Amino acid sequence: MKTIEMKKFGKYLAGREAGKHAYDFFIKEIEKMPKDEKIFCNFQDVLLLAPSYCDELFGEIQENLPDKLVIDKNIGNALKKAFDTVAEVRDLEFMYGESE
Amino acid sequence: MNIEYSKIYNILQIKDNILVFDFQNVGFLNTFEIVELFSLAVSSLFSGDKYKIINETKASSHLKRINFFPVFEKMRNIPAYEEASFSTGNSNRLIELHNYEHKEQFYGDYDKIFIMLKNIGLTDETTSLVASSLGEVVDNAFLHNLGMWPLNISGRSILLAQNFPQKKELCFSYCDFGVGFRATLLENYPELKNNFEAIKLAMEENVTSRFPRRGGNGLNYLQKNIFNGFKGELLVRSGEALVNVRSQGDVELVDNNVQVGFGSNIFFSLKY
Repeated sequence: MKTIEMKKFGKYLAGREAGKHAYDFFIKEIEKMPKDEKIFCNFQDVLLLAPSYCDELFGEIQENLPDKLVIDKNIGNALKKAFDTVAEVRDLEFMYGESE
Repeated sequence: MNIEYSKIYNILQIKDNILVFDFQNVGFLNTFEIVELFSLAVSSLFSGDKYKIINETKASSHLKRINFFPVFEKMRNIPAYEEASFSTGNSNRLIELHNYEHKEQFYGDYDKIFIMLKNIGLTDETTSLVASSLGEVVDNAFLHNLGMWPLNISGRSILLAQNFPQKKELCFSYCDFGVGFRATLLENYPELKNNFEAIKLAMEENVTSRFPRRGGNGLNYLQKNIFNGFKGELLVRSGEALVNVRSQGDVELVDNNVQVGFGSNIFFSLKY
């Protein structure tokens, strides 16, 4: 499993455009990876995740490439609420887990 | 929160092509009323480049402290008030009026917002939720008005944050000088007759102007945070309509003839 540290995108993850840019980065990484390998998203030191950003990045990937993402299960409640909002609007479920 | 528009309308007068702020009998303006007064002033049809403040009260002194007049001068490109004794503001404080030409300016304030909210004593979780709720409102304003900003003024939106330590209440009012809810949603919902209907619709889940793309996350998220977490209030004024959102999706019309007339002002508060 490949780990991507979200703090490398900033400690405040907000806005649709920024989410789209991060999506492009993720897709490039995914293209380099074996098909069945997953990405673990580590949110250590990320202070804010807005639903718009979450939608453009994680919502898009989860919908188009289900089972690719594993979200750090230790994210705080505030960040989790962005995932919950996107999951509800898009009618999908995110997978939470730990790094291997 | 009680909103008295008559008080706001009485403050502003145009005399001999000078915009006059008359504070006679106005002792207090709440956070939402201050932003509405600003919106009315900045959009007023006076064509001159002078304004003055008369019959000063505690309310006018408060407006000076929060940077109201320097921001007004900047947005209307008018010279500083000749008798002004107020400074051009202290950009290190968030609890004052700020104007944003680009949303990136707001994102650049996240550090300040986090410090302010944590200094007040909010938890990390609440701090993050308040800041991201504000960010969603700002992001929506710039996204929905892209290419459509109707006014030729130096600035697209303003934010006022105020803390009331005795009441343990934090208030935010963010107003964009854009086209409003109805104009934004009209393409996808052509049956909308007025801004009240548009606000009511926008408060429902999965409503977006971005169709066929999905959306509608921002206001949904804001309502959830306010009614399930902050225990605060939510007011929305768009164009001529002011509504009080009583609980998620439950919208009450307060005033359908607001004279500010354009743009959208979103107010929310939280008890801490």
